[in-house]
Amino acid sequence: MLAAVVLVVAYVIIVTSPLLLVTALGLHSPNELIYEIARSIALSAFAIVCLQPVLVARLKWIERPFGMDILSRFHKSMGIFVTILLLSHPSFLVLGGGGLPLITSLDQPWYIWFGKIGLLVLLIHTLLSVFSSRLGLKFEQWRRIHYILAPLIIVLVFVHSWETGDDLKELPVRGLWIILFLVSLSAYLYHKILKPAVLFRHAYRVVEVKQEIHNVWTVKMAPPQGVLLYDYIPGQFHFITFHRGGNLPVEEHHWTISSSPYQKAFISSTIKESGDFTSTIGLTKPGDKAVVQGPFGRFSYVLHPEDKDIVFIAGGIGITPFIGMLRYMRDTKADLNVLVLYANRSEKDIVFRDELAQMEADERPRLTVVHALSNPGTDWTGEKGYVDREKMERHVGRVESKAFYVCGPPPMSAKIIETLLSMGVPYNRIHREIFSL
Amino acid sequence: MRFRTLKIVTAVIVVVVLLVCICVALVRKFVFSAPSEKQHASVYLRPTKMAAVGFKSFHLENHTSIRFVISAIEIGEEGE
Repeated sequence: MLAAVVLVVAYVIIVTSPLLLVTALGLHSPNELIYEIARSIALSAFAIVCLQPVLVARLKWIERPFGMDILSRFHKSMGIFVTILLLSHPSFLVLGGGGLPLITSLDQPWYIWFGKIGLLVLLIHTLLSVFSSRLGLKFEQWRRIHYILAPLIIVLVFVHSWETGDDLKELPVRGLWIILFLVSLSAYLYHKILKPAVLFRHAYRVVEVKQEIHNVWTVKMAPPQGVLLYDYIPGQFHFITFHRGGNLPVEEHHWTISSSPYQKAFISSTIKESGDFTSTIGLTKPGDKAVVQGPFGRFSYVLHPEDKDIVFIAGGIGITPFIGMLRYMRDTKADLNVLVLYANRSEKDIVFRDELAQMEADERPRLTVVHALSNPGTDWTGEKGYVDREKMERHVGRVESKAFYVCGPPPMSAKIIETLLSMGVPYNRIHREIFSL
Repeated sequence: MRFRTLKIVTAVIVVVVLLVCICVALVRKFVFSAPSEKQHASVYLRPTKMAAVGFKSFHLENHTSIRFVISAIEIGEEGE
């Protein structure tokens, strides 16, 4: 908690540092007030732009207090905010007396064009990010665009502000600008070049590929000889890039770790065929190279030792973080009461059915598994339909002192959380995992 | 950190940044004193790069000010 507060305060100080610096330097300005606001906005916006790559460079000391999903959402929110800020910058300059030609005139110096092009690229990029699903843009396509446009925006904004900004004539401000730019560039190069190169040199090997059900596979991976498996807690996720030869795609994806950290020989992810890339996951062979980066995430009961009565609510492949946690509970003989409400469409979609039944029969953890099928066969005797309030009240009983962990398709998770809140479960006792970053 | 907390933190950061922007603009405009006329001459009478596309004002020591509206200018070496 303290680390999170320190990082948030540091972020605010850094994004306002150009403003604080020009104030400390006592630089007077004779311009209109609105013109001055436009300049202030640009100063702060530059710092926000430069910190954007740092937020998502997967730096452990930044990720750990928040979790990757939170950081990704913050990165996206600040991207939208800085787009609005930078759109208002030329608008306020015009309103402040800069004149409409500032925007409309084609006869302008090259560094003004750098700013205009940078703003246009930023606007296009933000619109693509916000409306990517509506535009039918696949995540991989969007990510490729992102990795090209993001550094381009930073360079264009840097050059524009360096050449144009009146405040940039002051040496301390120039120094700050170089520092911010170098921090940004370093984070990008670390994330895109340095770290992948190091990870590739120590790539894991696939040791087993097991088909769990008709469209779900578990891939086990082991580190190279002499290299220890990285430490993780159950429920976390990692990024994997499979290098499988042939014409099989090489793409980085993130998957939940489904193995128990108790055993140190291998690590596994259980992957559902749900897209162009994952439809090839069954073609992965033992011996294939897997570049693994992790662990990330904070979705784990281990981080909440006060939770003794736990309810896991899973939808479909959302069972994967829970199976990792349950395996770890089993391996450590955890003295916990656990109820699993597991929703699927039909019997053939239930993953880890036998293993869950076996864990239920064991003493620790004291586990109860309730399967609910939305499209059951005629011979199904278990729960039918979605996991709704009636089922939760019947199986969970009193909600006081219980902690709830929810992982499933976003609409289902949202509905479950809404129901839990309406049942009187405090918000801080509901833990949620979101697949998409 | 939870998603609800994230929303609050993001909103607070946005408000703080906007407030600091406005406050700094106000301070620079109204609190800091203008430099001397001679300094102005060196700061504001040269054809700065922004001047090429907008306007420039400069103040005299008797608190009057003159504004130049510049529609087009050839940017050359800085001069007074």
